[in-house]
Amino acid sequence: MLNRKIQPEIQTAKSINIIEPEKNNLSNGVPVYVINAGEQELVKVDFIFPVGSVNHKNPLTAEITNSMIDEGTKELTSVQIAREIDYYGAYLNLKSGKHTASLTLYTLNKYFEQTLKVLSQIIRSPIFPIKEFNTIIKHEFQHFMIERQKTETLASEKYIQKIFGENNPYGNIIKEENFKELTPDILRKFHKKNYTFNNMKIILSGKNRLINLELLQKYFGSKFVTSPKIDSNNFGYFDEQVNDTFFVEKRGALQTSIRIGKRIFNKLHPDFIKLNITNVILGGYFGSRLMSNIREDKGYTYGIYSSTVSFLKSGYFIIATETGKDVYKKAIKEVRKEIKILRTELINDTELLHVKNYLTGNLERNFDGAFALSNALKSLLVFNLKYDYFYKFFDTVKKITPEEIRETAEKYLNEDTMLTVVAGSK
Amino acid sequence: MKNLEKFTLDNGLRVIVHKDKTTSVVAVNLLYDVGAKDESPERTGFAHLFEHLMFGGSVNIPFFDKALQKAGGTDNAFTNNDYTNYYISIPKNNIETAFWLESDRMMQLNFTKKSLEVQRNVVIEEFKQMYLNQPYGDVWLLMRPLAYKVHPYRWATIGKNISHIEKATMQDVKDFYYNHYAPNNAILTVAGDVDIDNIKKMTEKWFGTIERRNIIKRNLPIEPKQTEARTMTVKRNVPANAIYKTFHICSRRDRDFHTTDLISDILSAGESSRLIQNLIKRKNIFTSINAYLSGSIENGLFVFSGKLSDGISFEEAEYEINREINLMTTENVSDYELQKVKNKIESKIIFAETNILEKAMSLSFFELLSSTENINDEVNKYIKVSADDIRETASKIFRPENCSTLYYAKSAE
Repeated sequence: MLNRKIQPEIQTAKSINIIEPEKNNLSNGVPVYVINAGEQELVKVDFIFPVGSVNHKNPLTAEITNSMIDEGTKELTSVQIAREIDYYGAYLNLKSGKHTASLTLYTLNKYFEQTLKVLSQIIRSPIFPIKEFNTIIKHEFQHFMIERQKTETLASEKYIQKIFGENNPYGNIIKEENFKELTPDILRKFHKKNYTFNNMKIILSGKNRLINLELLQKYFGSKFVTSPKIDSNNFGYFDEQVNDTFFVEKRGALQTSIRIGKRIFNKLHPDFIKLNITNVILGGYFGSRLMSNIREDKGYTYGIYSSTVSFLKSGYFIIATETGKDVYKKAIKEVRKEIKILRTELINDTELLHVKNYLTGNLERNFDGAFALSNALKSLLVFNLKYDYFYKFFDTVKKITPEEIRETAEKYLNEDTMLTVVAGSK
Repeated sequence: MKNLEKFTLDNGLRVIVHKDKTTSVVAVNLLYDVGAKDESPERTGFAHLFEHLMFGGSVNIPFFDKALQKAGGTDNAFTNNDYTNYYISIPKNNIETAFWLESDRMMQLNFTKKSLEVQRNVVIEEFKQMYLNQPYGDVWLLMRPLAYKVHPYRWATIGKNISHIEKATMQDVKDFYYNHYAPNNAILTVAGDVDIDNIKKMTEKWFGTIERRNIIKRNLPIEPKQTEARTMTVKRNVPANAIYKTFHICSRRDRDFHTTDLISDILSAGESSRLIQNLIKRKNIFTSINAYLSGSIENGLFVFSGKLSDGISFEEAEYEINREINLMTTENVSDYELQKVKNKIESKIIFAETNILEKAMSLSFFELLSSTENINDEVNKYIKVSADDIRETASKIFRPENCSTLYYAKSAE
């Protein structure tokens, strides 16, 4: 008779297996990381520039530069570019963050050259035409105004401002006037200064053919004039951390958004991995303590998560949830209670084993397939980290003890050092 | 998709196995043929609430998620108007845990008062978070009953309103389970680097002993043909006016489906599509606009949804949408444009094959539609569509009396 009470035997990974890229350089020195995996005749090409919202006083500049880079070049109009990309069944994904901008091309091998050629023009010679600029700004502004109707946006904005200080590049949130201040000329200058070949890195992932590298050489291998390296802004000052509670009013809101946390070190800190694991226990996965208590036991919310966010020069820890407006105070109380338990009591072996196995399973998923591998590499490149970061992560997961977790929580996650932002109706 | 195998257990469970050696993660997808369309009009939102309860523990396994996480797996589920889909992604060495978990909750769910009470609250918060506390969040709560008068597609998966969820009783929960959750009403797909014989053995071992149940025979009311245009206007505290137009279309199984899908692609798939180029970029009528199909199995909807630029009236916006519609019904698309949307579809299908979970879901879905092998005919069905087909099908769909329009107006606060 089958015993359904007993879980089938499980195996946990003894090591992780990561396909590391082969590094090549184009003749002009541009690095190309090649990840060869997968069976479908397609590739993904990432063009990465170390420039983002912190590199300009207007926090919109980097984002709009990158998102409208494909709206016309010296050779092709906006319509022509759109048609080329669509006709060949390709996708172009334009993303920008605090410190990076990326252009990601997904394309079938058989149309690699046609689409790559378009990309090379987009990167070298975009013209940021005024007509397209006006349309995009209108769209972005409307989107911004819609977002600002949401309690979650209001809470997150206030949180970021309070964590870093309104004058710090990380706390410099987008405001209405930023849309009016922007001009195509600002974008052109920003592009010219930052989207240079000596700043560029390329990741090629998928089922690669030898010719793909030759084509990259053909379209991106030419000589260039070296421009100055991008210097990050002065991050020397941060506002002093406070542990107050801030209320942002949104009339008529049916739910209340809560953000609790503090500024904290980034990935480069020796204790980051331990902090990250500690965070997972608290609120980093579906079986976390916050989720088990505040959703699965109390039913106060549809979801609650915590995370550790890393920027190049700093980072933060955050707990985020949307709760019924009548229960938000109770939810905050439970959150504080869970943090206190984390830093004063030892985790039991069963729970620790769950978390360890969840994390190793997750690591396996993070390196499964060509696109996952290229995303993993991208996350390393931003911080100039090597693959040993992932091996060390795996190792730390395997070895971390209940005492180390309690100690990490006690050292870095005291609830009395955190600030709270609440957005909703009174 | 190659390397497909299919078999059925004696209890009626349909099983699909797809071997893909390139991945170390296995996807286990279990689809139940029950969705919001199977709900009583007085108890809407129930299929989705029930999906939440499926994570509340089964007779031998009190904590579903914890047991899965222990094996390095993750999971989730979704409910739509047609079906409910549960999926697990797990390292291949621990795949048996997925069989153990899914078979136990198929065999006997643990009905507890606490789980029902808590999940009722969670779903009510979900209702607020996704539909009521979001700008434009209630559009489909308004649009569905405007477009459908009789068919159960007239309510959204989340339910008509919060009170239906508040009223759910334990007896409702039990009835729903025994009437819809059974091996003979489910499709299991396992995809990854697996051994087919081993999967057969494991399926028999874990699911083989579950007994068939009497599934309530589906008998849905037929939506009468719409004979006059319908409109509705609401005022909300939002920053921009928005317009939504729907037209009734064929079912997912109909031979016109692929043509209809291409019509929506010509109008709005990709930056070069007509609506984006003409109505956003050239004329600045909208700041965003989309044309898409509602994605249901039975007779669905062709949807236009657009946010108006400041200073544009509803009349102008509607006039411009109608102009594009007229063009589709009177002039043939060029060879270039038709080839473009076909290339896009082909590429989309190839890209989807890189994701093991997506593949497993599609395989279950195609088995529900007709037969899983038909997934390999999809590209051909699109390739065969001609410019005449497009024009003729568009003419059938885009009739004024087939249309429902929602004017979603900003209120001056």
